[in-house]
Amino acid sequence: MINKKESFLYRKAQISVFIILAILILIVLIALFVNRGGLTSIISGESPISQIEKCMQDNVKEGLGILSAQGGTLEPKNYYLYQNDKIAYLCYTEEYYRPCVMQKPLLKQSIEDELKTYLEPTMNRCLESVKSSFERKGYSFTYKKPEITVQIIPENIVVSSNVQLTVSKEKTESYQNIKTSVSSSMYGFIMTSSSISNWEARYGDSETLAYMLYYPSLKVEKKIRSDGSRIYILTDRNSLEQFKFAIRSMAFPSGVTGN
Amino acid sequence: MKNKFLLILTGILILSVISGLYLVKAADSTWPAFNSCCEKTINDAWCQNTDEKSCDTSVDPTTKSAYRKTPTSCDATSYCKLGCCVDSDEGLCMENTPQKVCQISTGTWLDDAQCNVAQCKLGCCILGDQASFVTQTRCKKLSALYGLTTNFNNAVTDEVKCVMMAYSQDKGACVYEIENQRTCKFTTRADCESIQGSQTGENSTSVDFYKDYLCSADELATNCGPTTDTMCVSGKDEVYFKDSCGNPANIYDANKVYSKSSSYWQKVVAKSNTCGGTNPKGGNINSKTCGNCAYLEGSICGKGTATYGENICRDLNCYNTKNGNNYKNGESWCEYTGETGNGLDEVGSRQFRHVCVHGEETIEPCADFRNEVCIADKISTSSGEFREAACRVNRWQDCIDQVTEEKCLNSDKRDCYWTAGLAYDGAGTTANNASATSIGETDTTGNTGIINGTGICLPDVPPGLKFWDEGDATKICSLGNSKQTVGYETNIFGTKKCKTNCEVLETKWLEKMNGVCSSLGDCGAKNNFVGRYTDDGVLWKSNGKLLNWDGTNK
Repeated sequence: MINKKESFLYRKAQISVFIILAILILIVLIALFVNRGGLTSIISGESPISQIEKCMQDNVKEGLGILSAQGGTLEPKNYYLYQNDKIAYLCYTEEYYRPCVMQKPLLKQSIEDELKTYLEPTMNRCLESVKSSFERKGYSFTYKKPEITVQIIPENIVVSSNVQLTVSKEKTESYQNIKTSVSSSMYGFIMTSSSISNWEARYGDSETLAYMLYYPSLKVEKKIRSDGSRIYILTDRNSLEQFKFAIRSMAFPSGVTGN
Repeated sequence: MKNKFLLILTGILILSVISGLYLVKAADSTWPAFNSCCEKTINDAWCQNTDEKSCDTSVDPTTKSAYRKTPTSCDATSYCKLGCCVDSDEGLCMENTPQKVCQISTGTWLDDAQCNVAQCKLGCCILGDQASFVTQTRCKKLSALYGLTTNFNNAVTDEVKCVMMAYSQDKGACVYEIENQRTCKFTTRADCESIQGSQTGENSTSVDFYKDYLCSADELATNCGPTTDTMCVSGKDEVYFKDSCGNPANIYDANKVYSKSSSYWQKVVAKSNTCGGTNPKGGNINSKTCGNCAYLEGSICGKGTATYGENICRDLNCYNTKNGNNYKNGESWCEYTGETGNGLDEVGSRQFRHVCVHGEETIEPCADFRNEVCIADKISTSSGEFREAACRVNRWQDCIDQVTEEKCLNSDKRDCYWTAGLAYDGAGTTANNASATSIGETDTTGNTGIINGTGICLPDVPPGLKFWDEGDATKICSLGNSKQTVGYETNIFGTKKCKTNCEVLETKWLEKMNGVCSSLGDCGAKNNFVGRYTDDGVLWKSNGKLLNWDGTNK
C-alpha cells in the first residue's frame, strides 16, 4: 500500500518530469524559430521541381498528341496521308494479294523511344526556362543534362529524369530526380494496335466489332482507302483520346493487276 | 424455181462493242513488276519485294554497311525471312516479322511466321475476378502491373473456357484487420490469400475468406455496412449496390435497399434471382429501379438518375440510323449506294458496312473498286433477330470462265450470275490472263467473242476499274467484244436484204451486249454512282463505220 506522503512525493516527481519535458520542447521550438531558414525551403513561390514537372507534363501531352496522330512515329517516312496526318504503317506490303510484313513489332518500346527523343530537347528548354526565372530572382541555378526514361504503363505515361539540380541563395537545395506522370490510354492503344497488326499479318484484315464488344470503352474505326491501305482510328470513349495507325495488307488492285 | 439471181453478199458487219470508257492505249506493264527484295526501301519500309530502284542503298548504322538488296523474293533471303518476333518484356508475339526488323527492335526472332512456338502458347491468365487468354510472360507482366499473384493455366486452350474459369472462381468477403478495425474486401479467394501473404511481422492479423458472403453481411461484423449508393464494376454490365467500404454488393434493385430487404445484403444473389432474371427483356434500359443490365440486350451500367444512386442501365442501341431503322448494340448492316447484283452496280459505287456499338453508328467502307462486297444475314436469338453484316472479297475473276450454270452459280466458289442465250467463245481465257487476245476463237459462222449460245457467266457485282488510267481495264472490258457476221442477199434489182444473223442489227441486241459489258466491270454504257450516264464505252460498227444506237450511220 502507498501511504499519503509517498503519494505526494510521487506526484511531485511526476510534475518535475513534465516541467523538464516542457522546457526541452520550448528550447527545441526556439531553436527551430531562430533557424527556420535551414529547415524550410529557401525558395519563395513555386518550387523548381513543380515548375519543371508542369512544363514536362505539357510537353509529354504535346508529344503524345503528335505520336497518336502519326502511328507512334515523330517523323514517319512510310506513311499514308490521311486528312493531313502522316499516318505510319505498322504492318505493310507493297504487293497485292499478300499479307503485310510487320514494321514495328515492339511498338511500345518504339513509342517510348520516340517520346524520349521528343522530350530530350524539350526537357532542356524547360530547365533553361526555369533556370532563367530563378536567376532573375537572384538564385544560382545549376543542373546536369538529364537522362530521360519513358515508361508507358496502363493508364499512364511516366517520365523520369536524373536532373541533379541545385538551387542556391545563401543556402543550397538539391534535387536528384524528377518524375512526371501523365494520364494516358496509350498502353491500351498499343496493345490493341499490336493485336490488330497480328490479325492483319495473318488474315489480311481484322474485325473491329470484336474489339469494341470486348472492350466497351474502346471505339475502333477502319477506313479503307483506294490503294488498299487501311487507316485504323482507336478512340477511348471516356477520355476521347485517339490513336491512328495504318496497315496495308492483302490489298486488291483495281481489275486484276492494277496495272 | 424463181429466176432470181441470188447473190449472197457476205456483208460483214463488224459489230464491235468496245467497252471501257476512255480506253486509249493498252497497258504494257506486266505484273508483278517487282524484281528485288529490299532490306529497306527509300520510303523506309522494311523487307519489301519491289523494284530495285526503290531500295535504300544508304549505310545501315547497325551493320556499318549498305542496306542489302537481292534480286529474289524476300522469302528466299535470310535477313528478310519472316518469323515470329517475341517481346520478352511485354510477352507479346508478333507474326510475319522479318528477322532484321525484330533484331533492331531488340526482340527475339523465332523461325515461325505464325508464332506456333512454345513462347507464344496461349493459356488462361486469371487476374482477380477477370481473365485474359495470353502467353505466360504476358500473364506475369499483367499480374505485376495490377499487383496480383500470377495465376496462369496453360491447360486451358480456348478463350471461352478461360473466361468461364474466371467466372467460376470462388468469390466472397475477405475479412481482415487494419489499424485495429475489422474491415472487408469483396474479392476472390486467391486475392484474399494474397492479402494474407502480404501481411508480415507485427502487422499480421488473421485474414478470413467467407465464400458467397457480402462485406455488408451483419454476421461478419465488419466496418462495411449497407448504403443506398450504387456503382459500376469494371468488366461487368450491371449496376451494383455499394457498401460503405466501397465494395460492390448485389445487383441494384430499388426494392432491396437495406431498410426494405436486409437479407439482400447478406450473401451473393445470382443474377437469375435478381430483378429481370438471367436475360432481362430489354436489358432494363433506363430503369430507375433495376440495375440488371445486359450487354447483349443493349444496356450497360453508366451514369444516370435512378431511384437510388446515380447509375442506370444505359441504352447502347442505335435509333433512327442513316437508313431510318433502329438497331441493337453490336448489330451491323449493309449499305448499297445504288442497285447491286446482276451486273447492275454503277461506276464508282462502293458498298459499306454500318455498325451499331455503344449507341453510335459507325460506317466501314468495303474495299474500293468493289473488290469487296457487303453481305448480311440474320440469326435468331432468344431476344429476337440479330442482324449481322460483313465485307468480304468479291470473287468475280473466274466468272467468265464458267460454261455451265451449275458451276457459275456455285456461291461457295464465286460470285456470278448466269444469263441464258449468250456465250463466250473464249472460255478458258479468264480475266486473270485476258491479255492474250481480246476476242476468243472464231466459231463456224465467223462470229467471235460474245456469241449466241446456251448461257454466259458474268460477275454478279462487276469490279470497278481504273478506266481513266493505264491499266487492265482494256483487257477486261475487251472480253465483251463481239464480232458478228451477217448474211445478205441481193435481188435482181440490187436491193440488199438481210438473210442470216439479222438480229444483231437491232438496238435490242446492242442493249443485250451492253448488259454483258457492264457486268464485266466499269465497261460499256452505264450510269455512274451520282446518276450521270455515259455511252462512250460502246462502239457499234458496221463494216468499219460507226453506228448510232438506233442503227443509223453516225
